[in-house]
Amino acid sequence: MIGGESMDRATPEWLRRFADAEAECPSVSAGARQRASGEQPRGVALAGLIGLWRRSRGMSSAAFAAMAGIEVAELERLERGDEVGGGVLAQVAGVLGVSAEKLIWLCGQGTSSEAALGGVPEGLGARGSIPEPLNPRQAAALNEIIRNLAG
Amino acid sequence: MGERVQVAERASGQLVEATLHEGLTTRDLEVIERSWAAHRAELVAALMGAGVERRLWPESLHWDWGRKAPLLELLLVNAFGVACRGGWQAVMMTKTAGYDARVSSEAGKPLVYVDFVETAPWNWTISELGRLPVFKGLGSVLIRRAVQQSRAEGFRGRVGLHALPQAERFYGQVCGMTRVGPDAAKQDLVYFEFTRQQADAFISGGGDR
Amino acid sequence: MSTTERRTMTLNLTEAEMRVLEALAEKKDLSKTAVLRQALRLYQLIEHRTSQGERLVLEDDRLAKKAEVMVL
Repeated sequence: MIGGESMDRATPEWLRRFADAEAECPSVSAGARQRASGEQPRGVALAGLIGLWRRSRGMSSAAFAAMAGIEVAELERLERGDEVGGGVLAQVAGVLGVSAEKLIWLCGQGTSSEAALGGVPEGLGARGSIPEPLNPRQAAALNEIIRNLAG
Repeated sequence: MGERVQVAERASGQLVEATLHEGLTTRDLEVIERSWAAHRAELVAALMGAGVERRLWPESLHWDWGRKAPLLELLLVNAFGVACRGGWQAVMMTKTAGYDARVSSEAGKPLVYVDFVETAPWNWTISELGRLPVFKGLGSVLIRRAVQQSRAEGFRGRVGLHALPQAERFYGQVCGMTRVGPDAAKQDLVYFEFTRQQADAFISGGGDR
Repeated sequence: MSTTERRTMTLNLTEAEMRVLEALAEKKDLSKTAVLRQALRLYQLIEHRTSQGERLVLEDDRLAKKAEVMVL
């Protein structure tokens, strides 16, 4: 029975009608603009970028921090989205091989005329100390992001 | 095990068999995000490469279902997912306590709150990149399931949610939910709600469109 | 995991408790069982959050009143 209290199955007509109407809409996403935790997105973007980069090289957090010449605690602050000094960001930019100015903008601590650079998604970061390697698709995406962030 | 449903495959125009799973686990959400993350990354690269303005990017591009997984230990949280052709095509997380209806005719009565719902990145319509969804109708199938959950809980079909701006048309015009308005307590997202009658109309296919 | 399996228990309530349960069921348009399930879910949520160091606070914007709720 349609419209009844049972777990009725949608009819083909219902499915086609709603599928066609839904396809005219750009999205069905409901939830939260940024993260569920309400944290600011700037750290999300950088954490995603650093995570991808570390995974592409099989590098732990400690190794990355050492290579950038910063403390592990500073790297963790970066990845949480906390404010860090421009000097720290510049050192990270040096390791990533990207423009320090664009990286600072990506972190929400400056401005950039290239508005299309923001928003690297948070789902890209590796959380373990020994990150999983990237698959070819992820590696290609990382290269593209780095290319766009390059000076 | 799950409920058999159908979704529309855009390319063939055919309805294909799918499974709607209830009670997704932490492991399920992690598997889903691992599967989707590469596609999110590929989209970021494509959007950046095409110079698409940030405001036009898919608004849930940054989501991470793995991070939402800890919520599943709460009794009031449920997660549903649609799977077909060997992959997870859409996911929804609902809450069944602590949320009351706001529409005056049913104000104060409990409802199912859709905390998060999203389709897989390959099912998004991104006109700036000329991308079309592989499967259509996934959002409708999941919202239909939320209504069914509401009925099973004794909430008579009442469902509430906060839509991301790009999804307001879907909930207002396609589903026929009441547009209550921007909610300052939820990032000014527009809150939508199904009354009992609207839910009945949606399920029977006679929604206000 | 099935979320539809049910187990049955007998619940003994005082007259006062039953009156409150019936009033809530009437107000919320729910069965008494559904009210108790709501209560359990919310209690678990509060217990979970307070055990992580959060506080439960009730706030009244009109009276600019805020009171912390003790959770046992």
